[in-house]
Amino acid sequence: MLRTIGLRRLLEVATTLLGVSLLAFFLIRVAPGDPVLLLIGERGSDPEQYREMAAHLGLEQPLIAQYLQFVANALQGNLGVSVVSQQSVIEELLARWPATIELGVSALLIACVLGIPAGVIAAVYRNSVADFLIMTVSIFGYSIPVFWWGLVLILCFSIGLDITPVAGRIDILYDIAPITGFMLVDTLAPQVVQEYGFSAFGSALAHLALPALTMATIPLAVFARTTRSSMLEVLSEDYVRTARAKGLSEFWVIWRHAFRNALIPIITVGGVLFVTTVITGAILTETIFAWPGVGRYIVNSVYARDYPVIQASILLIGIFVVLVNGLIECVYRAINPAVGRDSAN
Amino acid sequence: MILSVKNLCIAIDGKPAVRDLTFSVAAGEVLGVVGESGCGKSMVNMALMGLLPDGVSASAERMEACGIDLLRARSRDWRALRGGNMAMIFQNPMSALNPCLTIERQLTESVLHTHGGMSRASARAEALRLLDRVGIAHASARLKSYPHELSGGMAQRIMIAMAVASAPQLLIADEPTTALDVTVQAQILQLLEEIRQDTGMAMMMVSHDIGVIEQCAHRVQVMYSGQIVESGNVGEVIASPRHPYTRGLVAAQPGRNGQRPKSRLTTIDGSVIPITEEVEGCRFRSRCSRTDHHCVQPPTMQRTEANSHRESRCHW
Amino acid sequence: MQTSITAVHRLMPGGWGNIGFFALVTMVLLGFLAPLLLDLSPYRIGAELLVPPSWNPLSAPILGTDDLGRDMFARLVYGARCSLGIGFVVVAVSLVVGVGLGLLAGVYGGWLDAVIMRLVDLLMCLPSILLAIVIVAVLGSGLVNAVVAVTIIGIPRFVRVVRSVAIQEMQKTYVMAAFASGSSRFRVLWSEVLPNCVPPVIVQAALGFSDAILEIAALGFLGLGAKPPVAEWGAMLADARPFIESHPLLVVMPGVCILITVLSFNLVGDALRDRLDPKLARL
Repeated sequence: MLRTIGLRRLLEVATTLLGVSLLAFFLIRVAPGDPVLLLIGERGSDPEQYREMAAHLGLEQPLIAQYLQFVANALQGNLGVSVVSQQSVIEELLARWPATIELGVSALLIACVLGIPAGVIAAVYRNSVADFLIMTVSIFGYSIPVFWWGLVLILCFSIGLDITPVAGRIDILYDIAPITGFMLVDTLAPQVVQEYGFSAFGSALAHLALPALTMATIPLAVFARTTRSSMLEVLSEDYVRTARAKGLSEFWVIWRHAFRNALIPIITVGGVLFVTTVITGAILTETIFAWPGVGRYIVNSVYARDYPVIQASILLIGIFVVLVNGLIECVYRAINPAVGRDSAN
Repeated sequence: MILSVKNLCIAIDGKPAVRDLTFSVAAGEVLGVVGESGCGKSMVNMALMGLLPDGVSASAERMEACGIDLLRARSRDWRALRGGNMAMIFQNPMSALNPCLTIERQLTESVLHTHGGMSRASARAEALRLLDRVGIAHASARLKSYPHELSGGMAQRIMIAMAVASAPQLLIADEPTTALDVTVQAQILQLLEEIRQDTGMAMMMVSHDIGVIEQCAHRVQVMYSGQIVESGNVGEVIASPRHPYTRGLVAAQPGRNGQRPKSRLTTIDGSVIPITEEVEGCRFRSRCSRTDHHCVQPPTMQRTEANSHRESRCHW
Repeated sequence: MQTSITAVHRLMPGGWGNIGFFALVTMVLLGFLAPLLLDLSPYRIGAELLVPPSWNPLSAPILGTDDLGRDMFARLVYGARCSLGIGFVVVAVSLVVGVGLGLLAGVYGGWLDAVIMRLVDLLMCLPSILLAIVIVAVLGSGLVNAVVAVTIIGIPRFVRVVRSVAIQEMQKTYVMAAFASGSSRFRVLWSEVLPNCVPPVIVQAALGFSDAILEIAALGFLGLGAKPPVAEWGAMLADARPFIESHPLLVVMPGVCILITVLSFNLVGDALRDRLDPKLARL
């Protein structure tokens, strides 16, 4: 059982990765223009550099050989050099990754903490005023254009109330050496606290607040809606009636018996949301808030036609998505004994 | 009386469904309730447990269980009653157990609800004792199982173990054997009878199968479309049913009265009228073979003989 | 008369969907009729810059003018036409392609199914806006390329829903019976499977509309879709960004338009799903 399921999943993952790598590979070959020029940049390229890149791409070789060369390079962590900065693409991307993860995880946390209880409340008090309000807010949240919402939040909190900064991760007066790359963690490092007290952490938090809130809006709405419908389904199950017939308190019935079962679809949705929030949210939100993460880097690279960066981004994000999906599946199996058993056999 | 109900009415979205139910259960007694699906049996159970779904409401002149006035019970009283003096088992044991929790968790939960300050270890010991009591082999291994790893009969045994964890005075069994194989069915009924004799609890056994009721109940009440149409001692009612509906039920039993088991089955023509539908006169009239002008008047429960507790809602 | 009323009633999504439906009808009327009836000039550069809204329907710039003195009302109306028109094209094309691929995958199965579903998985694997950006990066930025990108990423939702319906239908007895009576696969596809795909496809079309409008606006906002001076809501938002402190309404108004349109499509889509297809879980 495990063999066949595991093997099939592995095959699916492999084909997805193959597809992502093909997409990345063909990107520069399909794009209009000379691929060599796309990769070294059109300006300031000397003939020497041109010959080097042409040899590196092996354009005169058959396509399949070119592709294998590309994969081999990628596996060695060699994804080329940014046209704009002339730095290694993989290093540039990895340096920006923590900022994006920090923002994405914060946003998703906000969304979980607010959205899931809201969905439970809406389900338990179905057709009440609370349900109506929660569902109204969530359909608005679900439909909101993220890039506009970020601007509206800036308008309210930064321009109107002047309580949050509008750009970056921390005030420029703080000089924080990156340790983990997560600003909230780095500002709590002993030497930072010694030098600035907790004001650096406060500044980092204030910078994070608006972008995280912006990014949290859509997942929050989706969490609330999914939780509600999942809870409604579970609350009508026989075992919930059993739990009540045992004399358990309503609180215990809802959280221990109903919510645990309702969690399964929520986790699935949460996994998909994690990917879309971190990446999609990052692209738009980071652009608005000048957040130095992967999303903004990708957008700027598109502006600059920095193809090596775009190519590497697709590859890395594809791998990231596959990893997250695998993780979600593990959690899913852990929480659902009926599925978990299949894998144990 | 462990349970005493007078004129219980249940309404669905304001429409009357169950009408003027009056019955009682004495300590140690088994009351069988029989009727077709949709006659309101399960709704009565839910009302007795305080578990009616939204939109369904109950009212009564009197509704007392184990010395507590259910009409005045607040949610705290209900909870004490449910996990204490009253317990319930359900029709489909597989879906009545929580698929995400181990048997141990679900069973100790019941134990801990009854014995508030019990330690985990002694709750586990008590759970083992209960599993043993309901005849489950390898009890300690079973504690680690999830419901989907059990057979239907085993799941129902575990439901029974959970129900008797609090040593209830009244056990409501809502079609406890309907979803099970016939052989398992007999085992479960026997188990329930053993437990009843050991503990002296009373039981309300609900079933659509009059054969099941005959096996285990002392008294029976027959329900039709939200009303009790006949009640009395099980043996007498089945031997000489008075109400045409009961007669039909008994006749529809295969292999009764010396018939050959495979002879042509008797059926009751027509089907149950929707429980919320208002009917003039007798509610069984449209399916009854013996109707006359009396049947236009709503019939009342009448003693069938003097000096007997048998009653029937039919003038014949 | 009676029949036409029932016909209209049948078209209405019901519940909150009706509000969304009316909002959309209003949007369509505004976007496509107003330019014919009123003298609107969204591109004429006026002398008076950044005039605040007057809110008076009789005085000329009801909603004021932007930083180049262009009439905001006219631009928003043309924006509606742009968004709805593009949304329609995107949904129509991705629907036809997606339904076709979904039917092929579901009805014919085998390697065709495998190939199509791998492609769909690949498209679903990468977040839609990233994919759109990448496609635009390859094709070059501009409204037409943005539409192509959004159309491509709109396809998978139709493929998946149609394929799952087709696979379910193929196992039903009446389809077996059709095969038994000598119908070809194509015949079964056309007359038995396709009609059953209609309700879920309508639901997906409504939801796809809202996604398409959001994505087009997002690309416009990033400067990768519609380019100034085109009156497109996303691009207008980007244009107005520098004036967010002094003239916040310039930023607020296009966003509100996007929100209302997307919200309406979602309301209609949800209501239709509840009505047409209660079993269809969120895909």
